[in-house]
Amino acid sequence: MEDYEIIQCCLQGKKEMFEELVSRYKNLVYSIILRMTNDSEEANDLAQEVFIKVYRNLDKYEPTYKFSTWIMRITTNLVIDSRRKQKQSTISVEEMPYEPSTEGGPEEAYLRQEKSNEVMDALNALPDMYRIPIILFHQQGLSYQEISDVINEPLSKVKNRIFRARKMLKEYLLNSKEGGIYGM
Amino acid sequence: MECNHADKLMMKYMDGILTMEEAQKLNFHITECESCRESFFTYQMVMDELRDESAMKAPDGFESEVMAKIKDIEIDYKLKEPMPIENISAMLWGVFSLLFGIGVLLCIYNQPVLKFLLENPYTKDWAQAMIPTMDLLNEYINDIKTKLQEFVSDGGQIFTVVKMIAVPVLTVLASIKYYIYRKKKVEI
Repeated sequence: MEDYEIIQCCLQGKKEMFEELVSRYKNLVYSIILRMTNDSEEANDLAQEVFIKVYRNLDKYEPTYKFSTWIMRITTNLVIDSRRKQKQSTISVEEMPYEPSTEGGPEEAYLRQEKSNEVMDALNALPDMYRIPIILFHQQGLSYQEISDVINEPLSKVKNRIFRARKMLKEYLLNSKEGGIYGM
Repeated sequence: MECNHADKLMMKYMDGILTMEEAQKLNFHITECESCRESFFTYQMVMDELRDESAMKAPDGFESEVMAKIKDIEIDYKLKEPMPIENISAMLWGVFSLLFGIGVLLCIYNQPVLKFLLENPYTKDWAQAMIPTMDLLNEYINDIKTKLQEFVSDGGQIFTVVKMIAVPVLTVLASIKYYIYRKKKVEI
């Protein structure tokens, strides 16, 4: 069943059909939020909030866009709003729990975790206007045009922001390399 | 190859649009240039990290939690109905009448309008470019006027009367059409 058909069913009162939409898009929504907040609990709460918002506004969905585009737009806006309300930056990587990997030895796992933390730290240092497009492009595999639809900005701006974001990430990582432990 | 060009190729690589030839060039360059090699592996690390999908799955029971939360939410969705043909017709007629009315007004009062535009510093250049077209338009209007005068001996007066009647009639017509359209839209 297509997304739009499910939405039509929900609009006609078949509330239970909404579960299928949640099931289809939960990982997409959750992963975007987790990348932006770095907090699994907060990501879970916000992802649920996204779906409640989607449910409340189902009648406003325009089928000219893909449902995934619409839901990603709601997700990014909600995260930005939430951060604005909190008036504080996201958790720093130092506060994140260390989760040893089951693959390889402890040292290898530690190095991998540190490397990952460095990248996440660099990502956290980016302003939302750069972070959102680069997450959507490299993590979600969206095209420039799809990102333009999600964030409602012209294509040229999207391209420019992704270009700038990559440069900023590279600069951040190279500058922190002396203090870091990851090797090339 | 210069480092600037290598950087552009790295961007293309990250966009997934690098050709085989470009890939070979880039590969050759980064084996020679330490700075670019460092950049390339840093970019690569960012991409690998972002693509890493571990721990990116929503927790178990996510659907149930969401469904439990929306269970008690009752929403009266406002379903959109397609616009009836009559409304589209009324809207088109309204727009047509309005544009026709404006067009007639501009034809009749083209000289004062042109004068006004010429005096305005922002529209001066544009208005000057319009002068030949306006002259042509005046010629046509005068032609019609002369023919009307020939047709009716009292032509001059008739033209003035037509001018005085046509403008209010068209304006009223446009307003009525617009009113009908608005009224129907509100009823939806």
